Amino acid sequence: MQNNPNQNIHTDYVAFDVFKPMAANQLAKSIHYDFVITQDMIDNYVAHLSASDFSIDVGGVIASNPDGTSGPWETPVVIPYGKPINIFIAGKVPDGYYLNFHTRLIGIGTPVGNILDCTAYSVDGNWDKTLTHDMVNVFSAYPYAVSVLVAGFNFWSTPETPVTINSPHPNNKGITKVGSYKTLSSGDYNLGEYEDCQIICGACLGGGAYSVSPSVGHIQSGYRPAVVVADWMQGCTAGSLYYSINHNDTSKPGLFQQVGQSYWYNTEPTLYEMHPNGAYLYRLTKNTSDELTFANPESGKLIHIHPNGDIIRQSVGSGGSSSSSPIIVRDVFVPYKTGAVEVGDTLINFDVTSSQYSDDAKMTVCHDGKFEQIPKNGDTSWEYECVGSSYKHFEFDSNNRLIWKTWYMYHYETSASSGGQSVPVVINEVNNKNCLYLSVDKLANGVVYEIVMEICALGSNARFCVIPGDMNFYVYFYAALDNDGTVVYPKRWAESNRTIGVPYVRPNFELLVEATDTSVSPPAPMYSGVSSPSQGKGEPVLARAVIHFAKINGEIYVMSY
Amino acid sequence: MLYHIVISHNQTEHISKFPKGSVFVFDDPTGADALECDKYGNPYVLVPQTGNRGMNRNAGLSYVLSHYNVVDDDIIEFFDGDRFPKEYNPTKVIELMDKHNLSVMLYSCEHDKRHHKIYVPLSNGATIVDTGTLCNPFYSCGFAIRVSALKKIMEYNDGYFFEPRFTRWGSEDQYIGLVCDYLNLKVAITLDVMLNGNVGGDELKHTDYRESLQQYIDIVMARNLPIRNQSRPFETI
Repeated sequence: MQNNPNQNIHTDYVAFDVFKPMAANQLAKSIHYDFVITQDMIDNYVAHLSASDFSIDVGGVIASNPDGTSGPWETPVVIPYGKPINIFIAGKVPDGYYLNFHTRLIGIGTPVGNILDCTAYSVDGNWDKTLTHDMVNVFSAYPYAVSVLVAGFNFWSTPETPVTINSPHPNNKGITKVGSYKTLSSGDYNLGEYEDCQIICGACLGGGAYSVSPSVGHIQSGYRPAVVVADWMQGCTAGSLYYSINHNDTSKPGLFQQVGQSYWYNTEPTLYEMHPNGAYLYRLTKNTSDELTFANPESGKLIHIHPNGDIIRQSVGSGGSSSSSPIIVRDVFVPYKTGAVEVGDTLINFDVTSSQYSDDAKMTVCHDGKFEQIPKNGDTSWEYECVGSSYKHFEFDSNNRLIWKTWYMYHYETSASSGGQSVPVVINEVNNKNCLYLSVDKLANGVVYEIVMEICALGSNARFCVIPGDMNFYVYFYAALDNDGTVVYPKRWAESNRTIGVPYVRPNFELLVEATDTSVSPPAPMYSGVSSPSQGKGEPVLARAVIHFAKINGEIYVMSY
Repeated sequence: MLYHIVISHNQTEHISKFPKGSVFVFDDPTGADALECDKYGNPYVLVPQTGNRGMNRNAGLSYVLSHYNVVDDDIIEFFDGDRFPKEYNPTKVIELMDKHNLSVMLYSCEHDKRHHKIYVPLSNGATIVDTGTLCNPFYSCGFAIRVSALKKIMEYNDGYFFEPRFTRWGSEDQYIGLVCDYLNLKVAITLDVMLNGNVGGDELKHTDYRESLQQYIDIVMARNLPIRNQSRPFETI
C-alpha cells in the first residue's frame, strides 16, 4: 500500500507495461512501492519552480499538494534496517530538469519536514553520507537525470531508461547502484582520486572514452574503481564479477579497464564462449596499454578488447554458432566486496591520518539492531567509552551478543611500509587501539557470551585479542562498574607453554573473501591476524572474528581457538 | 581386539575407505549406504535424521557391545564418516596404547588445527595431552579408547558414553575430554594415524556452535565438573 496523504493516494499501485522486458524491470512489476510519483505530480511541481530552477526535489514532489504547492510532512517514514523502500516515478521528467533525491527526501537543509527517517542506516544524524547499504530503490519507466549522487539509493534502469548522474561527486560517498548509467561526457566516469565513492552499473552508455577512475596507480595501491560495470543487481559480493558480451556487442565501455585491474590483482581473466557445438576458453595472451587479446589456441579464435571499449573478433563467429551465444568474461576481480553488504561491511579505504576522511572512520557497537558509535580517542583510536578516567561498559544485547563493527573500513599507512614502499594495510600496527570494556559484574554466571568483530580487514601484525598489550582490538574485562582498575584476566585453555600471566586469547576467525593467493590461511598460532600475502597489491584479507566466553564461578573462560 | 565405529551422513562414497568390518551408523540413511555396506561386509545401524553425533556414536557402541564378546582390554575406534584413515596400521594402534598404558589415543588429521592449539611439536609415537581445560584437544573425528576407560566414562555419565544432551554441532567431545581428566584417564595424540580432512578451525561455519557451547557450560556446571585454568606440561612419549 502506498500512502501519500497530500496527494490522496491510498492504493496499491500496479505498474503495467511501462517497463521494458528486461529481467530487472520484470521484477520491478511485482514489487511493492512505498511512494509513487505520477506525471501530474511532476508537472504541477515543475509549474511552481522559478524559470531558473531546474532541480526537482523528489521529497518536495512527494509532499506536494495536488496543485503542486509545497505541503507538510509531519511524520517521516521510517526505513527499517535491511528493508529498503521503493519509489516509483511513473512520469517523465521534462528535458533539462534533474531529480534531486537529496534535499527534502532525506532532510538535508530542510526545516519543513523530511520524508524519510533513515536513522536505522546512520550513526550520526538522519542520513549517513557514506552509506553503502541498500536504502532506497528508485524505479522509473522513463530516463531521467539525477542532480546529486546519493549513497544508498539504487536506480533501477535499463538501456531504454538510463539514468544520468550529473556531477557525481565524492561529497556523497558510498555506493550507488545503477542499472544503466548514461554519461554526459567522459568526465562522468572520472570521479577523481576518490576511493570512497562507487557507482556499480549494468551498462554505461554515451559519453566519451571510458577512463579509469581513480588513476591506474591509485587502483594499484588498493583503491576501488569509481565506476564498475557489473551485474548491479547481484552486486559484487564475491569480489569477482562476470561480464556478458552479447554476440552483437561491438563495444563494452569499461571492460578493458576492469580486466586490466583484475590482471593487476593477479587474477586471470578468461573469456568463455558457449554455443551448441561446444565451448571455447580464451586466455589472455596480450596485455598492453592499448589492447587486450584473448586467444583460443585450438580454434585460432581471437578476441581483442580496446581501451575505448571496442570489441573486435577474429575468426569468431565463422563456421558455426559462436555468434549466437554470449561470451562470458570470467574471473574478473574487482577490489573489495561491495554491493549487497551489511552496514559495517563497508569496504572503503580511509586514510585516517588524513583530515579529509578521519571524520568518516567510525567504530560502532550494535545492541539489538541499533548501532552506537564508539567515541574516538585521538585520530586512530576508538574506545567505548573513555571519559576522563571512567570507562563505560557495554551491555550485551538480549541474545548475549555484542557486535563490534567498523562502520567503515579504514586505511592506515604505517611506518611498516618501509623502504619507501607505499603499502596500504588496514588496521595494522599497534597504534590503532580499539577497545571494549566489559564489566564482569554484569555478566551472568554460566551464560555463553559472544563478541563478534566484523569485518576485520587485517594486514600483517594486526591483532585482536583479549586483554593484550600492543594489540589492535582489545576486550577488557573489569571487575567493577566503577572501574577501580582491577582487570579480570580470562582463563586460557590449553597453551601451557605460554608465559603465565599474559593471557592472550585468539578469536575464531572466518575468512570472508576468498583470497587471490592460495597461501592465505587462517591466523597463525601466535595470535597475529591474518597476514595478507597480497600486500603491496592493496588487498586486505577480510575476516570475521568471534570470541565466545562464559563466567563460571566468577572466572572468565574464553572458548576460542 | 580392535573394533571400529563410523558415523556417517551422506558420506556413502567413503565407506570402502574404512577398516573392513567397521560398524557404520547412518544418520538419515539412503539405500546406497546399506548396499555399499553389504558389498564390503560391514554391519550397520540405521537411525532417523537426528544430527546428534554423540548419540549416533552411542548407537554404534551399543551394537558392538551387544554383538561381540568385548572385554576390558579391547579397544574401540571411532571415526567420522569423512575422516577415513590415510596412514593407518591397526597393529601400531594397539602397540602404542599398550606400551604407554593409554586410555584414549586421539588421531591426527591432515590439516590439524589442534597442533596450533597444543603448540608443542608432536612426534610420531604419541604425545600425552591435557584434557582438563574447557577448550581441550579432545576431538571425536577419530580416536581409539580402551573399553575399561569407556566403562568408567559411562558409569560417570549415567550409562552414556557420549552425553545425549549435546544436540548441536560441537562440544560433545571436549566434554569427554574434561571427563577423562576428571577420571584420571591418560589421553595422547598420535601422528601415526593420519585421517583425511581437517580438524578444528571451522567452528564458525556451524551456526549452532554457540548453542553447543551453552549446552557444554550447562552440563559442566550441573555436574560441577572441575575445570583447570592452565594446562599441565605436555609429555612426549
